[in-house]
Amino acid sequence: MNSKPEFPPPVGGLLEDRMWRSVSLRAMELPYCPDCSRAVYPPAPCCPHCLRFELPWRALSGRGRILSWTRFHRTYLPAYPAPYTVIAVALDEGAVMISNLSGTEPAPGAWIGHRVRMCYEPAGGRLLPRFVLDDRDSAPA
Amino acid sequence: MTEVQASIVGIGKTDWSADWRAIREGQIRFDQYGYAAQALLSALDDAGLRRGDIDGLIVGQSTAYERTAEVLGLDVRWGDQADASTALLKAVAAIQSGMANTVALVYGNNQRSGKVQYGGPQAMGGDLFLSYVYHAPWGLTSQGALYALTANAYMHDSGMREADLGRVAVAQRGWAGLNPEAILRKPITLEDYLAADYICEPLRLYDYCMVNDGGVALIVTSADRATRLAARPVHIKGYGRHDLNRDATSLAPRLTGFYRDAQRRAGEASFAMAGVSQRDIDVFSVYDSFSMHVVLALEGYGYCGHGEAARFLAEQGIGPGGRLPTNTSGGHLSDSYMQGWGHYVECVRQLRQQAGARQVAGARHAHYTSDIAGKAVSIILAAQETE
Repeated sequence: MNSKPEFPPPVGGLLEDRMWRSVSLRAMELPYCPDCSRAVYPPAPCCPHCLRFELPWRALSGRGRILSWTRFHRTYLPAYPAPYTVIAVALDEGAVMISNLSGTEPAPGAWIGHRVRMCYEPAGGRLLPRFVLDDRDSAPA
Repeated sequence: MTEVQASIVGIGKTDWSADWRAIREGQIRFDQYGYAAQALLSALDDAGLRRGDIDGLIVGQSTAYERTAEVLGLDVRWGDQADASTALLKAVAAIQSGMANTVALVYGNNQRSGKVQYGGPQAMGGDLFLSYVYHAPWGLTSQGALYALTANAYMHDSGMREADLGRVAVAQRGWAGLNPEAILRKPITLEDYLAADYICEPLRLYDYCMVNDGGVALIVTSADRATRLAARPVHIKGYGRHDLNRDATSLAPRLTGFYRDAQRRAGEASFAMAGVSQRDIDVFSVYDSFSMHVVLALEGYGYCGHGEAARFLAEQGIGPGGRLPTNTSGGHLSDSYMQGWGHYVECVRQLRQQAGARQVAGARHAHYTSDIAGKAVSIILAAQETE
């Protein structure tokens, strides 16, 4: 019997599956609208701003800043025993992505606006895009 | 003279405090259909109507439409299913378009005894809102966590502190203490609030609604019929809705604009239709699964400026004796989590001057609002003018 707690699976779908394949290659891609200069997340069939179809997929720069955070003090998911932290990241490509912060945490009060960069960590039998603090540019945006 | 859109002529509710105690002792007396049926009988009695007078039915989100009608023995000429906010708007639309004359709105929920989960592997609502399930691989689950993210962003933006937020829960518990039918009535202080454990930081136990069983029903009809029927009908004078759907799954509307744009537009539409302003509102009624809803509503619906909710809570006040009596039954935090339906019952009682020790003296206008997942609804209710 597998004693590891079941990892919450990602939502699947035609576009999600393509996104997760790129994550497995450590180069996360999203549909990107060249007219609006924005990545579309979650991936969608057309740009929600200009409704252009056939969006090219582009690898993310992996850079962004923390828009908000929360620390769970209660366990909801067996794979995530409390305490643990979730962050919302405003990607430089314009989309917002929910993820986790790995490694060093910012000082209290210095989370929001802190620059971060994407990393890939094994979790539940797949790679998961997470973030670490980007100290090359720590000035809050 | 502004027009009355439709009127509430009957209210009904179950004894959710008794069921709360019974369930804690292991006794489950009703399922969700039982609660719905009890509430409807109570609303018909309140309205002085019989079942045969009902020709339209809207059921809440926690019972199936056909089964609810089957249990109630209701064959109607118009029917639908909706959440509390949309249900009242649909009832108005049905009555004004002639699809129905008198609509029963019926809600029953056994979420406590049925062990409904609002976070975790079996989280509710994912079929409606992708954001409720999309971020689970990163451990983000539960609506409370979404509001915790909102709260931290708002605090950063406005300077609100945790102790400021605590005033919402303390004020609503103060109202519940004056409401003999509320479930959680023991007074709490700001010290009690700050001593409680975090669930999702910065939100603590008292920032969360309870999860309990119960039922609510309303009877809505045209203003003409209402004045013939009811001694004290409550009139629906204005409404508005505005949705923020762009980037909803990634939570951007919650974290950057705090739903303000949706709330402002919905609020302005409802005030204009009713011909009143914020100054005319005697009772404010906010869908409050979490205390943050109230903070955002005070700003979004124009009771204070952006970033000023903390000061409003401290200096004006929303509790007993405060400038803007808000969620006067105790709301979802202290009275009962009826997903907005119970808020209507409290508004009607206040406008009928039937709210007992918590009555807001001479209440003439109530303002109900909700902002569930960026779908902002604003409804102005008014008491019957006395001759």
